[in-house]
Amino acid sequence: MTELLHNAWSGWTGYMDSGKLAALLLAVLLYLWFCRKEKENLPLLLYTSVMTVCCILPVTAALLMLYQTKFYNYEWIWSLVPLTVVTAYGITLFLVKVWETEQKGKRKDCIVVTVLAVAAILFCGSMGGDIWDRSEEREERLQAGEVLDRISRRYTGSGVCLWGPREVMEYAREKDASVTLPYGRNMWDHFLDGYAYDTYKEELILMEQWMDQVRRGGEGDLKVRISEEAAEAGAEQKAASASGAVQEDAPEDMERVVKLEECVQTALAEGVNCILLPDSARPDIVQRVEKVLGVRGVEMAHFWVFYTGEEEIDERND
Amino acid sequence: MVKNIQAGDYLITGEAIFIGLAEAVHLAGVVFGFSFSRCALLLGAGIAAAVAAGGITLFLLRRRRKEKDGSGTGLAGKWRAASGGEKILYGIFSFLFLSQLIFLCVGNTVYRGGDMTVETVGSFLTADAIYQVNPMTGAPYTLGIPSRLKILCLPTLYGSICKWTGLSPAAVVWRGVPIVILCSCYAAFGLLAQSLFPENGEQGRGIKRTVFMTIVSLLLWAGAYQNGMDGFNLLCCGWRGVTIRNVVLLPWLLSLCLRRNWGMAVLCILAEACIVWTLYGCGACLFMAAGMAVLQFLDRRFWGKGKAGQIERKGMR
Repeated sequence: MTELLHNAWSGWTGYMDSGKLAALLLAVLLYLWFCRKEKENLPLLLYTSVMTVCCILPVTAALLMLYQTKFYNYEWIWSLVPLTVVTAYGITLFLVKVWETEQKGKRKDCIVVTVLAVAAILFCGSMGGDIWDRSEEREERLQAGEVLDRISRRYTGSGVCLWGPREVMEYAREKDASVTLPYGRNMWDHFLDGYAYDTYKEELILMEQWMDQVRRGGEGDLKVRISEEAAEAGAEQKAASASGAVQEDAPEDMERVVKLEECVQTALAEGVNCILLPDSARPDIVQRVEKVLGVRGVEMAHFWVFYTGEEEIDERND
Repeated sequence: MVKNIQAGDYLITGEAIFIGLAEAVHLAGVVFGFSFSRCALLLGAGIAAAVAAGGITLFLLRRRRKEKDGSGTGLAGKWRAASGGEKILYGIFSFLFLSQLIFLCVGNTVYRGGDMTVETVGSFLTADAIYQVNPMTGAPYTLGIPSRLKILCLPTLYGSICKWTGLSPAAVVWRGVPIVILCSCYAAFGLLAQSLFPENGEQGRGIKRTVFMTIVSLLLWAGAYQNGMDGFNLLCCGWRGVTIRNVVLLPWLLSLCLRRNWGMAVLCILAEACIVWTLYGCGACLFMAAGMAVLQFLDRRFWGKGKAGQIERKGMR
């Protein structure tokens, strides 16, 4: 409940950060309550006023969040407030009243007030703001689409299981649902975790971290900081199994090194038959991947592509 | 008893019926393990039957109304009767509506943060089954998905449209559906305008309604700045269940509440339960309908104004 209360409070401040339509609603409500004698739609006015107050006050907002199953964020409790309806209703009544004064010879005032009202509406939004600036995402999608098309053509008849940087994995399943992935978009868009009970194994999380490091031009081995308890547990397990697949300096420096070879082997065990690396990956990383897989990388668009399971590939389409 | 039913009511009622049919087919797919192709076929047959029945009913109703009214008050008649200012406002409103339509058709508008509808629809089509594989990876589920999510029918509806038309999930979900929702949204707000300003039939010839619709379209543009705002929902994620609820069902519900048409309000509540993760069916529609019902009762019983009742008496022209 404390967390809900905190979310409700921070939710309101966040809600008012980007735009001010909620503030415009409050202004409209004040106008409807105090500047007009007639109350034509009293139930609607009352309902909106009560719900607006409930959405602003943290305790009632937290209760409303409970009502909407806690699955949705704070901003969704505003669904219960007819914000657009009442704002438009109040502004309409205001403007029509102002326009009635035109008949009394105040045409200039009437135009000024109308322009100001429209300006108020537009400035209470963010005039589009950075919401529309999705050129980067569009570029990424196009690039990923091109690579995915070429890979899919190569794997006709057999399914492709792809592992690559976020820029491709992000769009792979929306582009072609026959492509499978060792992990999906919910690895970095955690809101999507709410749609399933499934969770990822630690090795898959490390694979994603490794790929992210390579994408940023980092080294071929991933150093992961681990907690003391995890390190102790890991050391005990290591001693017991004496496997040595995972190289560990822990518990001394509480750091675990995940090697490139380990990640690639995990990927193969997960059924991956096509690996992509960004072309910004360091040459030694590309060479090491080639060595583990025993295949040469192919340059394609902005990526290095490594096809594994070559025997399954329909070469006619390549 | 049917009260003040308008063309917009038929449109949104039709959509709610499609949602209901999709829900029935979706549940059949989930419970009995029907293949997705079979579900799409069943839904197609159901919708075709509903459209045929609806078409015949509308035809008969229209003929009866014509016989009753005599004079035709079509769009052309309304346009001729409109004042100059009203015509300018119609023009501004049409421009704003068209700009939004164009924006949805050609704009780079899609916001898919926290949403996986396209992947879900794609996995239904590829696996030819409902929720057999995880849409994020394409691999079978290990632990499954929450049942309250599993019963929501929109992916089946969208997937069936893909199946019938041969369009890709992205084209249907990100382009086709938001356009339908945009039109339905304005239909719902149009009904609301008629409910809020019923006196316009007698005087002013609809100036308030036209101002209201123009302000609504301006607010939708202005409100496209943040997730959860009506404008953002409509222009960036019009396919989501919460969007359909917020910009179609809720305005329609308000209009129904103002007209005291509680029977059709129930349809809204049921439609929401089929498309949005609610508290065991208790969603925003039920909350709003209950709130409005109580306040309208108090208004009539104790505060004595009963203005809402005037709508019913005067009618919506």
